[in-house]
Amino acid sequence: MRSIEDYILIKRIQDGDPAAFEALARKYYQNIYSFCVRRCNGDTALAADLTQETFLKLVEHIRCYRPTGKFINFLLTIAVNTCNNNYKKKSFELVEGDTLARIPDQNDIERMVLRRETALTVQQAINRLPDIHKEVVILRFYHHRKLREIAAMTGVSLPTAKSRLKQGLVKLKRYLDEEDLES
Amino acid sequence: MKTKNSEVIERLEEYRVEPMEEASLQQMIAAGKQLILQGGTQRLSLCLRLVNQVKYLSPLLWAAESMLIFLCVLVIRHINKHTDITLALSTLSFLMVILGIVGFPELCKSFSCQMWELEQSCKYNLRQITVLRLSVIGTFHLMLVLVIALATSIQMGLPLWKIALYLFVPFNLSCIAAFFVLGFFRNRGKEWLILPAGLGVAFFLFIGINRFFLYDRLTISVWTVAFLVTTVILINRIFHFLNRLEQGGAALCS
Repeated sequence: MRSIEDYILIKRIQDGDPAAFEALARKYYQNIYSFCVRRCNGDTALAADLTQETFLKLVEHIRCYRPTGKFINFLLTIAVNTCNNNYKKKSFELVEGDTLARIPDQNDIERMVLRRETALTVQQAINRLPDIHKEVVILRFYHHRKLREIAAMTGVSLPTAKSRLKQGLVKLKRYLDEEDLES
Repeated sequence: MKTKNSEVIERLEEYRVEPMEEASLQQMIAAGKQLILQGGTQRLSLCLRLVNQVKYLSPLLWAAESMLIFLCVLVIRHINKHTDITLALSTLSFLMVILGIVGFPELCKSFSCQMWELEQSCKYNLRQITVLRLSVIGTFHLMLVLVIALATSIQMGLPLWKIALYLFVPFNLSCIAAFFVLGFFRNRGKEWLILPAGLGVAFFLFIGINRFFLYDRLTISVWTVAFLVTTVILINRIFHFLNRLEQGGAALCS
């Protein structure tokens, strides 16, 4: 049903309906934004810019979209390429802790602090991964993409994607242990 | 190993990204909407626009085409070993000239101010519409000339390429004359002059071929050169015509 809704919205966007774009953007922006935040070493401002760029590219290339696969894969592929293109222009800077994703005010301060620390630790561990491992890890565990889909999105073979995921997890384990030791 | 991976995955899943700020989201949506509205002229796919243009072509055009095809078939069917080949070919050439001009009223349909405004309000590009119509009508006419040439060559027992040359040269000439008239009189509301101009070409050609035995006196090389020259001039006139459309309806209606 979800794919039919997406298909209808895409057809409406192809016919020039701006309201359909808003509906589609609101549906998927968090997905793409989260990917960009994690991919951009936690820089939320840059992630917002890249998210906008991703959706604008979607509008430009909406006619190329063929409903042969999931729409989210198409969108994530654009996001992957957008982030990689941005990285080619300038590498992502490591972001200081206080520019990481804002946590809204909550009554439970301890939980808030703990969550923030977890976020920082995990983001810093992810930051240390090479980009090729970072992408696969983020797409696998945060966007729940199958390895076959990840391979298509990143333009590599399935065995390569599997290898990158495995190596990524090994490195992440090591980095997380190091972060725990430091803290 | 699996357990260690599970621990890592659990820790990864604890990391949540907070939603994007509403202001950034609104900005993104506004930018996307603007892009969609700017791309309004490409709203329909090329195939759909082509189909639309075919539907909008007047039934009168198809009636005229059908009449011409009927006349050509009539001429070809009556060709036998006793037929004067020059007369038969010149008659077919006459019909090819008429074929060349019969589609021009459809092209001119968009050039009245009201039609231009209507089409602009639908966010269609006049140049694109004209190109599409030209493609539809031109392709149909080209194929028709080839089919008639093929039928004639079979009936007469002459090579196809020879007959094609004899038919395409008058066809090209009539199209060139029509484009010339259209270009000259377009902004003055005198597009109807295309018909007498075309008929004039047709009659001159008919008389010239029969009076001066042009099929016999002009060698095939001359016909080939005539074909190439008229084709180049015709293509030039088409591009010149389309380039002038860039100015849009304001220029057309001035």
